[in-house]
Amino acid sequence: MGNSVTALTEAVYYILLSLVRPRHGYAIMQHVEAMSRGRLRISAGTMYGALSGLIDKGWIEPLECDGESRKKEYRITAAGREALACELERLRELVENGAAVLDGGDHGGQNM
Amino acid sequence: MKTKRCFNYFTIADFENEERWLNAMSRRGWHFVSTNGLIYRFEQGRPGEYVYKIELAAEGDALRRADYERFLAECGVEVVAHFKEWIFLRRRAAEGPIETADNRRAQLSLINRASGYAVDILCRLLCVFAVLSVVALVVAALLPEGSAAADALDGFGISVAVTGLAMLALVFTPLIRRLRRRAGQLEREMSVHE
Repeated sequence: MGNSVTALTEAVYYILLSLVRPRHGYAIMQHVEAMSRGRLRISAGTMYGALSGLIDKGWIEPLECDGESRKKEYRITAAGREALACELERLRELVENGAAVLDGGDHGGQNM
Repeated sequence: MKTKRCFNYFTIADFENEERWLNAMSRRGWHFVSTNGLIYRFEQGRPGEYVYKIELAAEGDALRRADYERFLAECGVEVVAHFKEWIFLRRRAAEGPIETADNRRAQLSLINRASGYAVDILCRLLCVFAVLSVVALVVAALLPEGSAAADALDGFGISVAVTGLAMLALVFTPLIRRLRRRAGQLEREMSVHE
């Protein structure tokens, strides 16, 4: 499956989150920008490369489009959801450790 | 519509400066529409109406390139011009920038591809010079020794080999080194930030 603990890029993480509902490229860009409150704008080039990579990994799938002019839509797969869940777990660990050290005076869970 | 032409030259290693220049021209109301690598054509319009970005065309065959350009159009990005392997993109500034300015990953990928492109051109030119020089030397060897044509071809072959190769090395080595240095700088930044 390849769902290792390797971090996802921010763009890939947000693209996967956006594809929990079927969306085309431009809709993904808008959704990512809205979710990140305008902080993250993914270029079409980055998006194109990320979508191809995610299809190759089997984490998203293109949907059949019914007309010549319709934009191609994509949707997350079960493997993609699993990757997202792993990433969320990793991010929780980062946040919990960060909060423990900065807010609680803990030194990263190891007693010195 | 009022148009103007400007002369400018940017090397492969200068595409980021070229992009900054096109955006500065746009802010002054001159919107880039085409280039042949030396002459840049602009159309007058509302200052700051567009933001420009320069990229290398998608890798792969013509079908993949066409697919990429269709995808760009779907994302509201217009392909304004092509020049060799480069594509010039623009988008209405009101719709926001083409991407987040500090996308180091995308910058690094583009710089690495530009560097590969420079090496590719260098190899092709080296092949042309090598073939020219070998053909000249072989033909010179086949001609009667001491004839004026043989001497001329001999001289031509040797000068092509020496001057051509030296010139290429002097032109391309600094360009490739600059691109590699820029890539190294981005890699160092990426060891701290994504």
